[in-house]
Amino acid sequence: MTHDPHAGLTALLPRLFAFGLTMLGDADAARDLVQEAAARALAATRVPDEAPAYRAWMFRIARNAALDEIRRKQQTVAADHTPVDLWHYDDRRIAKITVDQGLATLAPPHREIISLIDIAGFSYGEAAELLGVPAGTIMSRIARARSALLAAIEASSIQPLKSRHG
Amino acid sequence: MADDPKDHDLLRLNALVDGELAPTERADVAARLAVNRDLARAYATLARLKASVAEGVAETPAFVLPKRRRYTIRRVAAAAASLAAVIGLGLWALDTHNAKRGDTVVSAEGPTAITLASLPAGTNIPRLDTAGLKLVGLTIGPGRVPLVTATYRGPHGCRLDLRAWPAGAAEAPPLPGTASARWTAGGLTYELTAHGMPKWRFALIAEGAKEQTRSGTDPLRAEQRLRQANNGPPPCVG
Repeated sequence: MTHDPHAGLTALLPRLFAFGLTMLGDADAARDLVQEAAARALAATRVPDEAPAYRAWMFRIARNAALDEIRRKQQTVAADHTPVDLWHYDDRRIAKITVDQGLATLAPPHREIISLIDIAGFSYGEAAELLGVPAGTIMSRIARARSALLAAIEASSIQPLKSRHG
Repeated sequence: MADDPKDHDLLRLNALVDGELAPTERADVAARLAVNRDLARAYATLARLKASVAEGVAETPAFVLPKRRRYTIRRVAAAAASLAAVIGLGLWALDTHNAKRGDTVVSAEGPTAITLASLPAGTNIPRLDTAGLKLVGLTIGPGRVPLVTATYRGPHGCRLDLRAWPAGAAEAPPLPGTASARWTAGGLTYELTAHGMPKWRFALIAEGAKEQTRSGTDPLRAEQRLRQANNGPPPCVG
């Protein structure tokens, strides 16, 4: 029986797509990104053997492709929102629609760390290895990114619908 | 970031939400959450935010992974065996209501004519209707490169050009386009060129076309690729 080093690729595609979508903010671009990342991976001569390493390797490929795309598009600088007071935040504002809109206004590094931790599901250690930084840096980056996202949500003009009771 | 005690709490709350705190530290933060209302509220906000981000994962589109290179050489004879069926398939894609004179078919959008009898042996003209692309022109140039040129058009302005020439012969002159794919089947080199089509869609169509030019492949698989390519927003505008 031959070992297929890409056996786990199909299972990774949804998370890779979600990562691409958060990074690029466009479904078509995210689809192209994943397709391109998969093509690069399948053409590679050296492929990590173990599942966690393979997953990190795939995301590294997707991340590089996303950063290339962001550079190519020369996307506009992210909006600078007023910092929020987390201790008294009205979290009724947090909903899928406001989160999506907020993510789209964040700077790429914020979008990246939120994608890796909350969407791709990497641990701090795994994300640190993937980005080549200490785990402590991931801890502060995710905290900053979430604060920025909360600020973006608060700055948004969209109000989630109130749920009806009774 | 952690100079301010609140910043330190913020780091720890985020780590708690992410399940990244060591057991002792987790117990310590949990004890504080129980008595500190602001801290508990901030924790709830972060947890809700994390859940909303994860919930926001969009529906994943279908992907067709590129095939890895195979090191098998297909027999030309096998391709020849499929010739008759494939020629029929390719020509079926032409609008059969178009004018027919003898063995010549005139395409709907131009004066391009083909002579069935002069199609070179081993030439497979893929049918891409499932992907929304009609074969609108087919020219052959016996003894020339490319030997065959086929043009497909979609309802939203997409255009694809397929060229084929004998493998190993002189290369066809480069054709400008936004994406292209090249493969060999049945002793011919095929080249599919897109003009303004999203890369993902082109990749699927190229896979479908490739499947059809090769003998012994599953026709349903080609059909599936082309159907997937037809899903989503209009492929090209203008």
